[in-house]
Amino acid sequence: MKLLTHLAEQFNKLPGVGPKTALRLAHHVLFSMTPEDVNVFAAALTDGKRRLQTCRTCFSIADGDDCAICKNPNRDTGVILVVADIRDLLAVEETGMFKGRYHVLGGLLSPMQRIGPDKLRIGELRERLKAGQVREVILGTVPTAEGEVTAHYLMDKLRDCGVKITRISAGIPVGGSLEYMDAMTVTRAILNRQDMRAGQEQG
Amino acid sequence: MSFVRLSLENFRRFPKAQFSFAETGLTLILGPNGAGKSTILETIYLLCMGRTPRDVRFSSLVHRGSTTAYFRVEAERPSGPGRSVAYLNGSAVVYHEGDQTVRRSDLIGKPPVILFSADEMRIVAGEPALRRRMTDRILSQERPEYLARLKRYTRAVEERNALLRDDMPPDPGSWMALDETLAADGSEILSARRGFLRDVSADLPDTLKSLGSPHLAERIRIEPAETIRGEYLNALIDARPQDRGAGHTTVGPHRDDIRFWDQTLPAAETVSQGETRILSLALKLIESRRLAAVSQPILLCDDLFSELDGVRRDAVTAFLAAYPGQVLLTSCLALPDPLLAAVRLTLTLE
Ligand SMILES: [Zn+2]
Repeated sequence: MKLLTHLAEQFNKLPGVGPKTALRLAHHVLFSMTPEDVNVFAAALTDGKRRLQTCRTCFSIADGDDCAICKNPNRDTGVILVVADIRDLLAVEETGMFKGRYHVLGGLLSPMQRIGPDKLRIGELRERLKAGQVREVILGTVPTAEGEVTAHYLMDKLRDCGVKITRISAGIPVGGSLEYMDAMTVTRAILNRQDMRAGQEQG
Repeated sequence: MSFVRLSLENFRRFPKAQFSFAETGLTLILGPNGAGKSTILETIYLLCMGRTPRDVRFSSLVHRGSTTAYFRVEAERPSGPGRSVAYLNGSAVVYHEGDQTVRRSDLIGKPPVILFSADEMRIVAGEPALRRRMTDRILSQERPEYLARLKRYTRAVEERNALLRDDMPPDPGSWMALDETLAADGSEILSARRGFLRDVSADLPDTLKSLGSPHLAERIRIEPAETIRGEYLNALIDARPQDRGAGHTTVGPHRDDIRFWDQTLPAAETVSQGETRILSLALKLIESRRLAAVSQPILLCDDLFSELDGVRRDAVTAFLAAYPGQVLLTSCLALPDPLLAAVRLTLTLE
């Protein structure tokens, strides 16, 4: 019993896994999986965590200091798409439509979750913009309340970097994450981005 | 759109029950007080709006004698996606359309519902939330993007309130970003509400006349309450010291209201009980006409006739008897003959 409940408690720590599902997963591991499968599974967890590195430039997942995208000479260094986390990056990469580079913030501003600007990689983004190669930064945070707040915040903080700032147009309906959008929606959102300064002058 | 069959399991006073409705026209639900007539209307409302009319906790809907904290309700459509299902899962309700799980926001307005109940008759003099809810309910059923924007706005207000309540002084950049987000969605919401109010004002006189109240049509005006003066973003910035003191956001659509004027006086102070009902009823008729432009709403009438006198009974009878969509009407009174003549199906509860 102890073995089963202990394992279930570990699954229960994962997002979206409630106690019932955790127990089902634990039961599956102990009674249905072969020892070999369990070893592969456990190794993927420990190796994954041990070898995980983030890119020193864009903070995406990397094997060494730099990620595959930052190392790729065919990716345009002049355009940076700012996303909240790696899942949003993967959703955009899946479309194959974006040829620029990324900046992974590490979250979205949220006073409710006690995520302030100091928790996000905003200073690092400013440094990249100031280095001079970047023409355009696209604010690719999702159109939720937190995503909008973060975009407004960034617009203000990046204004003096001398770079064109645009915002993806995902419009309403809101509440979704880029992760759940289909390829067409993501592509359209990037292609239909709007110049934030132009929008401000009108407003 | 309509529902032809309703199954309840462990819901309110029903351990298990099934009811059938006429596909269009009038289904009469009879029975003494406490027999569960309103529960039937409440269930349809829940399946179409993702909440109950009085916003009760979902867990309180479970049948009292039940040993499990679970209920399930299911309504069958004559066509389209088949059935709508709602069941309790923990403290939340899960919704299905056909075989698919759907979000609450995907449910709303498909089909639209309109509830005629005693609660709804307090719209003129009741608390501001009642009037905001009327506007939001209608606009949300008409336009999914209004609902989406309202949800995002509500969430942004919660975020701003969390910032206001922090022990540390709010970070100026975050505060400005929050105010800009609130102002962007908030001004869209306010302008949609203003447009709605203009339409309602234009429809009101004729509707009141059709209810036999030409004198009210002359007197009553509806206007937005001036909750925001000047430009919205500036109003938010101006309110900062007071908001920080209060620990919540004091200006914006979530504090918005509608004013009913009786010539130069607030109508809440001048109109009689009977006149209040006529006004509420007129607003309901306008609501049903508006939503019919999207999809014919289901009318849920909870003991409506006990609220009405002679002239109004005739007007409402004529409206309901001629209504092209589905009407579910509960009553414990004797009903007017012309209405009884229009009844397609009668359910009697014990
Ligand atoms: Zn990189």
